Amino acid sequence: MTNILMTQNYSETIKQHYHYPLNAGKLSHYTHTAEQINPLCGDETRVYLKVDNDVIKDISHKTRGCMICAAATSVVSEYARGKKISEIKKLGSSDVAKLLQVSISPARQSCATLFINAIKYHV
Amino acid sequence: MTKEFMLEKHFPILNRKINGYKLVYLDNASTTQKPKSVINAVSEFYEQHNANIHRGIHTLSQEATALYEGTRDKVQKFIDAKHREEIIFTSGATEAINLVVWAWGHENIHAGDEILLSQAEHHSNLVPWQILAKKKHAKLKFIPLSPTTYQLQATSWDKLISKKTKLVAISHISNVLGTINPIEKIIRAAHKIGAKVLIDGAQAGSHIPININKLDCDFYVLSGHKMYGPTGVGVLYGKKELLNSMPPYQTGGHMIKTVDFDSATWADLPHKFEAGTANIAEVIGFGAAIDFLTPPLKLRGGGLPATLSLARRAGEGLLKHESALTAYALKQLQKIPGLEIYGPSNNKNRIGVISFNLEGVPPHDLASILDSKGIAIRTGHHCAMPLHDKLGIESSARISLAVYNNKSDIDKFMSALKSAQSILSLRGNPKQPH
Repeated sequence: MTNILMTQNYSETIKQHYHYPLNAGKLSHYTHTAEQINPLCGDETRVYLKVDNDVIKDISHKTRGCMICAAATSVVSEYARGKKISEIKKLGSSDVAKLLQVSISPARQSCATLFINAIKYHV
Repeated sequence: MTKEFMLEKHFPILNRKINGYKLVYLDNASTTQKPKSVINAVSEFYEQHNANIHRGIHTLSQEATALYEGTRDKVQKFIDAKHREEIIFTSGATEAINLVVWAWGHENIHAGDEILLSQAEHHSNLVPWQILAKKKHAKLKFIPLSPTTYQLQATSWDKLISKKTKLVAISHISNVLGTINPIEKIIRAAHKIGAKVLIDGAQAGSHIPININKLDCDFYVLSGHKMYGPTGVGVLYGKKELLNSMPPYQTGGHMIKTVDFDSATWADLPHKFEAGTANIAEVIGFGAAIDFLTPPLKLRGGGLPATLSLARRAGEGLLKHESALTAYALKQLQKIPGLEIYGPSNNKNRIGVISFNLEGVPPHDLASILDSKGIAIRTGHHCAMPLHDKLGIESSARISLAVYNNKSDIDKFMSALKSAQSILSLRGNPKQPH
């Protein structure tokens, strides 16, 4: 990966999502919660969902991790608002890449999908 | 610093380009690269001598056995063990520790006993003891680290060792902090109260001389692939009388003397602890790695130049080169504001394993950017989660040096580190994303 690509991959958007994540915190009222940890790197996320008739009415998360993980969690949490859980469970790293408008290397896919996997496997 | 030697000639992989850049490999605590002599030893075994060992009368089996047992003799000499049968080959340091946990620990640890570790142990020298302690209702205790020097607190271990302490298991060198632990003192203190001592030497094998005779520890483990040898090989050294007292760890072929339908008797040392078919080619490759590290000079076989060979006299040869490079790396890192090193800030009582965090630069993202410039570092918890908890961090970045690293590698790393800091910093006025 060239240096230019690295600069593009760490766009201002990604950095802002890392420093100012959307939907950070714990919902005061939630119907579902789930946790996902990546034991290889220490990234971890807990998702809080308020679900009504399979639709995500409200969402939040508490996340500690690298920039890719944090940015992915921020954009996916915002994307998931108003969508069906079943739809979110189908998302993968390519969807995260589209939402962030970057390419995600194979080495970083587990970072990019930590939040999605919390919902996919534990909700 | 010693003259830069053209060690790329000995390590084929160092000529590779990664993402258009010549490889700068700084992940040696995880695994080291292999010299041609080691690679050739493995290939040559398969091309010329491949057969199972200890079983055949035919020529190939005799040759394979001689090569395999020849490595055992090399290891005995390398660590100054008294008897060759005290050298057991395992699949790695992890299996070596598990062997002690199950073959010695299971018989000798009882309810109420205490096992003393340190707060900085690798999971392989922690988790097996946790399982044993739970099973046998024993207690684990931990020698704390000094928050300023990162060394094991000498005043604490005297308080932690007691009549109940049956085993002390400590790393020779920390794979996160790079610190060389004062194991001689710990071994003496443990033996005074009758406790046995296991030393995890996974990080020590290629960096400092190991003199088992002088240390007098009860068990010592080595990791082959962390000392320029192939993966799949480790060594357990154990005192003969202890190994003889222990039941086998794995049973089956090769480790028996006699078998009938209902029972079996065990082979003598060392074979009692080497069940099944060994990783023969890898052990032989490991022998070539020991040749690479050991004086006298064996340049024809691709060994180290004499000034870089692993001398038993501290402060010479390899030690000098790595020590000087470590000092250089520490000095450069300390110039960066917002960079915190986890470990001693000078190169006394430490090797070139340097873990750190840089403000605003998450480790994994740093690793990606460095990789884009051909630089390999490690990030995460380095199989030492409790240590990271103790340090109050989730993860860290780590560079770890080997004999083929040089000043230019450190300079390239530092330049890329500063570049990463710039790439990852938030520019302009902070604003909410939309």
